[in-house]
Amino acid sequence: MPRIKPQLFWQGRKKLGLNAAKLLPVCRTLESTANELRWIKQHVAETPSIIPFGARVWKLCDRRGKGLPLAYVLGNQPFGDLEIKCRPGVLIPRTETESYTIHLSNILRRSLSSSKSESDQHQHQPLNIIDLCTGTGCIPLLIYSQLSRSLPFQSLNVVGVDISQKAINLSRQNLHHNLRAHRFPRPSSPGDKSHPQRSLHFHKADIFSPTSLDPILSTPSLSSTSSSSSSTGTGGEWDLLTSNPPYISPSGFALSTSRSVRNWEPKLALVPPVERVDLHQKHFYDHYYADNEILLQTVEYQEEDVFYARLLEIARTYRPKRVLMEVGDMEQAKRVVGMVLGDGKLRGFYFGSGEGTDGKEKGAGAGAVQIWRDDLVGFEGYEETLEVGVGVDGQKQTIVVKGHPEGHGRSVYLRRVGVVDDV
Amino acid sequence: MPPRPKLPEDELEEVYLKGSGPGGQKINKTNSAVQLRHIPTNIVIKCQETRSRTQNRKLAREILAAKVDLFLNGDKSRLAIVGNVKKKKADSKAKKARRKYKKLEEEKAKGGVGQQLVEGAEGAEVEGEDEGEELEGYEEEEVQEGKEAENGEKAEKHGGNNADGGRQ
Repeated sequence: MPRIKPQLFWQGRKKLGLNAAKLLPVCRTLESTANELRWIKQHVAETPSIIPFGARVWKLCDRRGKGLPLAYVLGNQPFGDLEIKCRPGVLIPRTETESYTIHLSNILRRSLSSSKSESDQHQHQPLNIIDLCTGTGCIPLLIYSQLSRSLPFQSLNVVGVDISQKAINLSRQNLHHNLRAHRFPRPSSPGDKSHPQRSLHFHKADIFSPTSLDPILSTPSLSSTSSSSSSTGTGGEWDLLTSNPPYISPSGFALSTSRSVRNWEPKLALVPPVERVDLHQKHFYDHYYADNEILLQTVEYQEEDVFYARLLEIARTYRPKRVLMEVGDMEQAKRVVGMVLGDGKLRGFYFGSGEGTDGKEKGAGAGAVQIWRDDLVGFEGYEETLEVGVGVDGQKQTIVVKGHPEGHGRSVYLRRVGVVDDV
Repeated sequence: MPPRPKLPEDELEEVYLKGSGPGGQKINKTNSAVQLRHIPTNIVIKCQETRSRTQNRKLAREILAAKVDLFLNGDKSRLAIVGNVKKKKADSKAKKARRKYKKLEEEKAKGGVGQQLVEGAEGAEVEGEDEGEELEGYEEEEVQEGKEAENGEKAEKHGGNNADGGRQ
């Protein structure tokens, strides 16, 4: 890192006061120092305390100056229109995640409000959404908030799962924190039979352990015991599976992460643990691709992708209508797409038989395998195609890449054959 | 007063701000800045007022709408009209204050040493009342501005007439 000119410290002191000298080494520029100082002061002014204003600002600037991320210093991070509490030990929600989560809830909203005219039964049928590796609970909370506001009569069943007890405690706190602030309607209580049934729960489970995860996955709707779901036969399906799993390789963690991530954020949420990789790799090779051995040579698979292998295994078993997984970059996104297209069953679910090689020739009911780039909100119009050269026969497949062309690859989106997005 | 200007979404273009580094989990310096361009006039603004990008996107739209309004309508834009009204108020306030102190000075010059104490006390009282009234007036203006622009306009006209009458 280049050295900061002493001149900048003098300018900062003169313009922004003594606190600026503390913030400047981490903020690097005067502009971001001014911003962070303003946010710290705002935070102190908004939270009452008997300690004098100046002393509190000084203390927070001191902690920020030691490199602690601002979200941990202030204890929260805005996420969409929510305020998510943050605490060391749980990953801070990122704006990239916020962006695709909003885009995803827009897709869900549009596809549901267009199908609503067909029958009223859709609304009684809860929308089942599950987020694995939920952390602060930001993704399920934001989806719940967006959908309960834009679809006021739609029943919702939202579940968040994480392995860490700290994360589960924090996500439950976040639910209550945002409820107190009236940012979204209260989930309906178990005995309540009023019309829009809404539930939002967080469970502690290891997603690699079938014994702890299967009970959660196999009963999508807690209220699905009602007769309507069993009679139609479509109840008990997951409408959406989201996940922002750890996706950084151990070497990438040392080389490409920023210092404050390395020093302050939980490694559990960033790097797939080695023993798990070993264990699952064996499992992965034994079971996942047991039926088509050719794939072992054609599918590129690296140790940081182990969570995707497991997530796709879950998708294979439970066939959620839509899947969204955050990835680290374009290369990883392509590898994940390769894993989807390389598996006969998954390919059948989400890509279709692939009779039309051109994506545009397919009908509305065709599945979709897409890569989304950073910052989809505001850049929905950008779209391009990408050729991925994997498959049983090594054929090239065309998939759609959405988002601004300069954005990093950020997530992989799967839509099951027969499910329609109204965009 | 004219309503707050709003721009149609298809005239706007968000400028893509490339964050530094790989993004995602690898960095935690969240870049909440939003840059917005109004295509017909090519006015660009950047907003990093809050830590929330959602909030910044809303704010940026408001700020840009006000700027475009000022650029297209000039003196008839909301920004100019509100500014004018505020300036008028401030001017009239300054004028009143000047008048009052002038009067006080004159009375001080007329009156003897014995009376000065009483006069001074009265003056202080009057001053206090005056300030209270003006504060109330200010609050009212805020409410009108926010809710009922038309009513506010009427009230302004009314006030203006009154002031004229007073002068005559």
